[in-house]
Amino acid sequence: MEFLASKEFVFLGQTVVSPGTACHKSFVNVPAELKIEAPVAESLQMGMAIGMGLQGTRVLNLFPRLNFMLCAIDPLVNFLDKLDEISNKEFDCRIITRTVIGSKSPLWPGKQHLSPDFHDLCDYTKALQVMCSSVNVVRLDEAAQIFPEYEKAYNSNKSSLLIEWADKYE
Amino acid sequence: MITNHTVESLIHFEKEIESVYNEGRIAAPIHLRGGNEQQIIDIFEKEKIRDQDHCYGTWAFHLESLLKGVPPEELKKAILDKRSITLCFKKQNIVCSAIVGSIAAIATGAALSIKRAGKDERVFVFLGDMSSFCGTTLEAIRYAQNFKLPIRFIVSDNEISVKTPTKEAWGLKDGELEAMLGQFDNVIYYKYKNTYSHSGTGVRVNFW
Repeated sequence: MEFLASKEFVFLGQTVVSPGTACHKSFVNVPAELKIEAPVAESLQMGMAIGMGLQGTRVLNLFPRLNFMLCAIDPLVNFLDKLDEISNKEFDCRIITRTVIGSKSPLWPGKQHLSPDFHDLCDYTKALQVMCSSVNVVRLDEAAQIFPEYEKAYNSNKSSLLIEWADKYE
Repeated sequence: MITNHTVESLIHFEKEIESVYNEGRIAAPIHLRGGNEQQIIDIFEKEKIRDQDHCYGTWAFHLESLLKGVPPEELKKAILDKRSITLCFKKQNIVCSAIVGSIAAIATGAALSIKRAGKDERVFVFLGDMSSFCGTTLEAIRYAQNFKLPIRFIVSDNEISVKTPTKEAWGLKDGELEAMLGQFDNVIYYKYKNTYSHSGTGVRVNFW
């Protein structure tokens, strides 16, 4: 996240400031003035990130679990993904949404944090790729993908949704 | 005020769109509004809405777009291009969404960026009565109030959402919606009776 901090991104989300999830550690070295701890209100948060993006602010928008982000699908799919068309390409919004597929070990996370795919983890990547035609949805399966994909998202003239694995974090 | 529009000029514009729609020339949803022209003009005047300010709205935003400075011919063209329910104009800082409630959160994010950047700009978001009661809208109003963001939420209460009576659907008694919204310093509320139907013009139009 230091790379994006150096580009004056604003970091918005749950556990961006306060500890409590696996990805919190990646924000420790980000300057405090660039971080905004969001309330637990996912649709509000996604909408706010989009509104900030419309003002030209570059936003890293964190949802610490992919299944939490399901509550934020409306502004993502109904607005951000359609923005080019509904605004006649007059507006752009270049935010990066980051989310994480939760781990299932060493603690069993409970049925709601799981999904019935072959990983038995809560991975809705394919569904999001189907729902989004403009927002670039990428799952980062290997550590080597992470920096290049964030760099690509930073340089893109579109918004991106980058999905990571909690199991890859300590 | 940004423009010289009057109650009569706003009524005239909607009548013209009604006529064009009835000729079958707009094969897309339109939401005409009437009966609230003076209230909207008053809000633009009292709030001193300026060119650099931002207006966010819903699927019914013809009158507000005119008052924010969109030339009538440009607005008419956008409506003929089937964009009536999602009017967006960069030059006039107008962004709309046809999805109930979500625009409040987007507008709040814009206001947060404006405040962080220290810009001399404000955000005005125009909502209906049913939208004002959505969870996301109420979250946005509370967040914006707590962080003193430069935003006003303008609630136009015509007491109905499509054909659903808002108060009845929410189990509200007379005056309770106003009282609830009245708790917030950043909400401007007014009531009116829409002279048009929710969508279309109330007559059967043949588009083929």
